[in-house]
Amino acid sequence: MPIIINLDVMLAKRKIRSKELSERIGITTSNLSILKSGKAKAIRFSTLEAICKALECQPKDILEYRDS
Amino acid sequence: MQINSSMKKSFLFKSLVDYLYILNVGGFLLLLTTISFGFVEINVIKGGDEHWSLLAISISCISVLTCIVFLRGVYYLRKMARHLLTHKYFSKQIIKCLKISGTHFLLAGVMFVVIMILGWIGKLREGLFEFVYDINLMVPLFLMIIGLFFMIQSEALLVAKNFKEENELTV
Repeated sequence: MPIIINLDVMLAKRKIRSKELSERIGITTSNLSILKSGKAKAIRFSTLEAICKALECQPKDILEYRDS
Repeated sequence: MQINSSMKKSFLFKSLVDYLYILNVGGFLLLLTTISFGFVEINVIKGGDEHWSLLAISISCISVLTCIVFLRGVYYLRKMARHLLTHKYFSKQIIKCLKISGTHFLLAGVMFVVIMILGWIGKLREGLFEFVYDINLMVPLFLMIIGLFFMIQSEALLVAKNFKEENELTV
């Protein structure tokens, strides 16, 4: 899929662990893992909003389009 | 409550398909054995000839083939029924078995129609024109309908499986 998830990069920049983020945004670690690994087929606006709020970033910092 | 009721239906379905398969395989093997040992004499389409005509041989061969195709269809239906008991309705095995079973039933129905047409031609060659309206006329029609329904059902399940996967992978 040409949509790349840069959640790992943002987590490293903010020095936050996956478990901590999952607790903050209220999703399971397995779902966060699906998102991080790029296996997710869709992301809800509510989840994206929660991630952006928790990591203090913009959606473009997490999602990236790469033409393959 | 819902699962219990569904489980009972799946179990009943599997039992019925098992009986159908066992009876058909048993009957087919018994028929083959009795014919090969000469216990049963086969009437060649009202011919009375000692030698079988090409038409009679064709009808016999297609009949055996139809029986085998039908049995294979029931075998895959049985396999599907076994997978149904695990309650994984959208599994690949169920979709695949349903599709194969449907294709076999459709093919068996078409072959049944061919047999009927050949029989009708045989009678026509003897100068006998007849059209019999009985339950035998419905069997191939029903087989083809069931076969097509299974094939459509398998495609519908595949679409549902994709939707389910997408839903599960939505974060």
